[in-house]
Amino acid sequence: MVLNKFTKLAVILVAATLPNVISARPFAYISNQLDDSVSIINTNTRTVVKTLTVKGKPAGVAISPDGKRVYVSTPEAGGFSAIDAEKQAEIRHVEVSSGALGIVAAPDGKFIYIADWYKDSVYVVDAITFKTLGSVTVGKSPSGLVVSPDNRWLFVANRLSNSVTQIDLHKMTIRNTTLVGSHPFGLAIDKKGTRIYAANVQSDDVTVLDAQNLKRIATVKVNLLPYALTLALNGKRLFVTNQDDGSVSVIDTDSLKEIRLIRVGDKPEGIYTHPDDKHVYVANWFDGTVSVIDAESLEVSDTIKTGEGSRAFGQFISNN
Amino acid sequence: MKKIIFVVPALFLMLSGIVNAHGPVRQKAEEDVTINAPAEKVWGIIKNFDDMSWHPGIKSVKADKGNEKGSVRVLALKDGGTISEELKKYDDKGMSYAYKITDISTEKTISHAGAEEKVPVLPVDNYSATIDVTSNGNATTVSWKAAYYRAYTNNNPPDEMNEDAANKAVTACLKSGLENLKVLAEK
Repeated sequence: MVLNKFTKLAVILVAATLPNVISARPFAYISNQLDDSVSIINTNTRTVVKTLTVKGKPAGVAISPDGKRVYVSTPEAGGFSAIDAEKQAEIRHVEVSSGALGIVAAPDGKFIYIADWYKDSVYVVDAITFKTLGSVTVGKSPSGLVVSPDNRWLFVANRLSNSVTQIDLHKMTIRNTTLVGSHPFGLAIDKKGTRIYAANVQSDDVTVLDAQNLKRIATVKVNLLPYALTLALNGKRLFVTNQDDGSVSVIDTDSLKEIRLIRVGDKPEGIYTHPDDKHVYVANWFDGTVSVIDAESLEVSDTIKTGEGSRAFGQFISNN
Repeated sequence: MKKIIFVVPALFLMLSGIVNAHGPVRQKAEEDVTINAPAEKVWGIIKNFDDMSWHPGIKSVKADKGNEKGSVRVLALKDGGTISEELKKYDDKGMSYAYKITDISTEKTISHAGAEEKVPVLPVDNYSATIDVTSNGNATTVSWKAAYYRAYTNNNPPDEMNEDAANKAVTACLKSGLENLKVLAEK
């Protein structure tokens, strides 16, 4: 391509006025609960580029599908913080309800769903106006949330009811609830929306459900205190944080067997896959670090220092 | 997306402005000590789950299954009271073990927010810990890490059961234990 002088200059000027953030996407947003902060990691350089103050003991993380907004639940401030991803700054704090923890953004970007640990409800918040539109009562202490890729169903892990609830997002009513293992916390769904995986904190296993009818397909034993999970390599591998073992269990999703145990930091909690589908990020709560796992070699390829009490519960890496 | 009709807006709107109960945030404590003694010697002193004679705050220990995973030990404290702990991980070669508190006796009962509250002898809830021995050439590092919640699980804790009380008590317990272990191992 041949550019004249003027065009070249214009390109340089435009590039200079844009913050470097655009080229550095995607980012990982790590909530540091004991520090009241969020570490923003550039996943290309694997370094923390900014640490934002987010009050209210930040825990859950969700990102709008276009990657422009980051939502961080703040259990001690009863709601969530909305962060502008390009400016890397908090836009505002949105008050929702007192025990806000699990959070997820709808695939169409219109709504934010937030689970309240004490009110046994999931709240629906308008992603533009930040107004709460309503709520659905679910099981006890709802925690992890995932939305089906077709934006039709919302799945909720009810920790103290030992169940997973499927909410019809057209009708905003419960379609189905099924029992899983003991104290389910994190949830994952595959890209086709066919299977749900629930990490059961108390029974040290993962329940595999058919996403359509919530039938139990299998229960896979993992290690001590499984907390959250994520899929990689086109859904072929499931990665599960074992909080009290300082490890990540790797499950082959065809055979539904644990094939490897990877050592990470102490008290691993939040886990999510990079959009390249080949790297898995794990927040280590005790160490205040993030481990990056190569999903093919199953080795830890990097450890990034973040902040005190890194949780990053949810889908904490932007898609673009 | 179709129009959504929500059923309980009135009640919901009334509640939404009120910030009340919220969940306690998990706390952590970590203490390390460097001991001028071989790691094997240090591990030898602490390796038995049913022996905590190295800790100055503990009077006696009984465990039902020794160093077997799942073994439960009951610690009798010098200042009175008991703590029960379950062995969750045991690695003799790696010189570490992890355990979880399953029961804590009550130190006293206080009146708070119109209810009787039992203050446990160690004011924590859902406590798990790991003790690790690492060789550093001629010296040894012992690291003791604990993760726990405050004893009061509802909103607005009394002073005896808040985060500060939990952190102080756990830190004191880890510190005094490691200090005494150093003295014993360097003898």
